[in-house]
Amino acid sequence: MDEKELISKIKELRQIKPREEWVLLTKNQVFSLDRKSTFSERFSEFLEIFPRIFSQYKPALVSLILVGALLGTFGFAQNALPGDLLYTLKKITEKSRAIFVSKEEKPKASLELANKRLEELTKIAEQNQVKKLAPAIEEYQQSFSEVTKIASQIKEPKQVRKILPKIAELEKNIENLKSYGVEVGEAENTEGLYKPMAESLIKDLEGRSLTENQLKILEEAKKLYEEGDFSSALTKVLEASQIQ
Amino acid sequence: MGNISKKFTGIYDRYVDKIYRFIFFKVDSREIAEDLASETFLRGWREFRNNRDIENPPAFLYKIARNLVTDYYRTKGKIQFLSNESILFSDPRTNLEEESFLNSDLKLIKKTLLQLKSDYQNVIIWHYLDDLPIAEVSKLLGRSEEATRMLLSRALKELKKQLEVA
Repeated sequence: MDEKELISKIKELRQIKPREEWVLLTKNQVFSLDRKSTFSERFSEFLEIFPRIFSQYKPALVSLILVGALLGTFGFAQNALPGDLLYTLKKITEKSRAIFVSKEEKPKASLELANKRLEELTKIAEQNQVKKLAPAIEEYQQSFSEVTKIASQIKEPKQVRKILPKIAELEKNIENLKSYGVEVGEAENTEGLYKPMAESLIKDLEGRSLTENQLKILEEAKKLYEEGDFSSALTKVLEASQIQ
Repeated sequence: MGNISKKFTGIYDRYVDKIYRFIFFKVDSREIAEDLASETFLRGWREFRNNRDIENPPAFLYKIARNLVTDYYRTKGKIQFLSNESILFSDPRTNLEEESFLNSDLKLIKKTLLQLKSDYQNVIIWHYLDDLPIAEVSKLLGRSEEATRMLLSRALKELKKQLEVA
């Protein structure tokens, strides 16, 4: 094939075109952004049509309608997924709730959030919503990073025991995500949690006076930690902390 | 607002096929190309509507499209696949449907074009498929017209070489 023939063949690839219905749908979707932004202008015009008596109550009426719309929107936002328009609202609601969480409850609350992010990612993978994968992964990574930060500050074995069921739930969700062909990286799976917790508890125990038995188990925990078996190291250090 | 949307409608009508096809050659899936092309125009319209001084709308759209494709591959890289059966992204059924109208020569050219490096792909798509003149292609590439002509020549040679091997 000479160059002229090749160019002619390349040009035939113009046959590759989008579907007509997609073209129309996308056009409609793109320009519907324009219609939404003029809604508030049209709503004001609507209120102006009514007689003065109505317009006296306009501020109260507008507030009522706005509150109603907001409540409805908050409701819808709870089902929003990363990449959706209402997702930001969902995150704002979560952040405002987090203000009221006590320091003791923070590890559990952060794990619950990470589990929520994983569930969203699983839903997206299940529905093959390719466009939303990147934001969903980022959301999970951020929430997991927060969990790791909080986990590294845990010094009380009883706090660790409290969150172990939530960690087990996270492990289950990570396994479930695998069934859709998606696997989280090493930095974002539960091994990444065991390490900072084991380190924190080992350091804490080292600063206390321990019995011979406790010292022995602590040494075993440190050895496992050095070998990289952080979950076993954590189990050992919890065992050491329970011995009287 | 009416004038701006009318103007962007014209841009949409003129470039929707080209942007879709450009993305399609990068991702080789109709579904993904549709998603990314929709997103390209949504973002393009948002920027255009804010009255940004966009001198070259098609270049602007191609840039958005390229960035979206890069993000797509970045996401793909973050996600590990357990096995070939669990591939999330490409639906072979939709590709068969798309390719049914292409003869075997064209299928091979398409497949080989997909395997070329990005710059070669881009220059061939923009000049021969999208009919952009060299001057416009050079602006998209950020190179001189002479450098663009040389790149085009090398791209064609490489495509021909790969086709002979295939």
